[in-house]
Amino acid sequence: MNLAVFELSAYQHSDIATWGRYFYGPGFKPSLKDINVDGGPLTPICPMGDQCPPQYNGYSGDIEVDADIEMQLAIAPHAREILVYNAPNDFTGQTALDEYAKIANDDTADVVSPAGRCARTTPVRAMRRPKT
Amino acid sequence: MTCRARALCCAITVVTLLLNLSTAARAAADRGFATVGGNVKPTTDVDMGAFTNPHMSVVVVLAPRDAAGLSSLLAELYNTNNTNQHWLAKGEFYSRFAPDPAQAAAVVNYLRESGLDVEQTSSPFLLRVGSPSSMMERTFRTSLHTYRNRNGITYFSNASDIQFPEELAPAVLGVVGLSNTVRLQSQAVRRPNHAAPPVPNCETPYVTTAQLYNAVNNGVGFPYGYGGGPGCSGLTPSQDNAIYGAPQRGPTVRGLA
Repeated sequence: MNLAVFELSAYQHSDIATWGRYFYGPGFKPSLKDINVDGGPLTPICPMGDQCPPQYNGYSGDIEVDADIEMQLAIAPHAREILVYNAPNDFTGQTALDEYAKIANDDTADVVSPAGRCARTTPVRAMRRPKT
Repeated sequence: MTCRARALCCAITVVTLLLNLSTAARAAADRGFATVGGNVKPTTDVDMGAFTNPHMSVVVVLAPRDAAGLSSLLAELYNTNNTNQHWLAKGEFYSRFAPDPAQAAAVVNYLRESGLDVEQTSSPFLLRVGSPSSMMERTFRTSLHTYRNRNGITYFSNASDIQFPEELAPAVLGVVGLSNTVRLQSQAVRRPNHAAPPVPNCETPYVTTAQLYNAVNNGVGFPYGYGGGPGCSGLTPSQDNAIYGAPQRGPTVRGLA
């Protein structure tokens, strides 16, 4: 089973490796695949007129990403792959839409776990692709 | 009537006729547009005036085809009592629910005729559109303003709901990018130093990862599931395990066999 997480911050594989070794032993090697959209949070390609401030990008939300991945591994440690989709954290919501579209188009994840929440959102709903 | 009076009378008549025609034309034009609701958030923040940007990018979100069928499918898939749940085939979602191609093309034509640069994205639901802000205002029949909230943060937003030609409005869910008020926040909360450990609650049900591990694998050692517990919403660890098919005894912490 492939699990995907929706993220808006960079993170370090070594953090996940350390967590995995602590709880599952030295032989535990989770398969993480990073998929960046719109340049990802480290090299953002921000839409025109939008803002992707440095203080909201880079590794600023890495503990959220770590928590999301670790949650997936806690529930399903034998998952075939954790697909870590990542996009810049912007102020208009366009990069989030692009990331959701990428997840839907790739169609390789069996389950998708979104992260974070919108403090103040634009009212338009992003499209979701249903799967059981 | 003198010549001068007759000329004046004619001039007044012509002007009156032109005004009536102009009003009628405006009325006809207004009747031809429909509001696409849900694209503006009422605010009492300070309006600081017009917002302008020579280069702006937004995303027009198109509505799914057969919205009723989609709602019905989602209800069926998320019904845990449904014994007929199944994965959709690859490509099935787009083939059943992607926007009607003719409608999508009509929306693209309208945007291009309005002078906007339109770029198809990898999703059939999304159109990326670029232009100066003034053109966006004319096309979507709204105005863009700069506001300042009570925390002193300035932002821009459309001041009214957007409009599309009547025959196209049902094909459009909305436009993303006419405001920059999105602030996606992490749900992780750092524990302050030297403070007493927080009491587990809906927002922070697990103080440590070890507690999470124990709760997931034991299922009974902690009162709150992730997002669960009294007054919370979400699933308990046992429910998560049941959904994902994880063994109830959990990993042995001896590494993978």
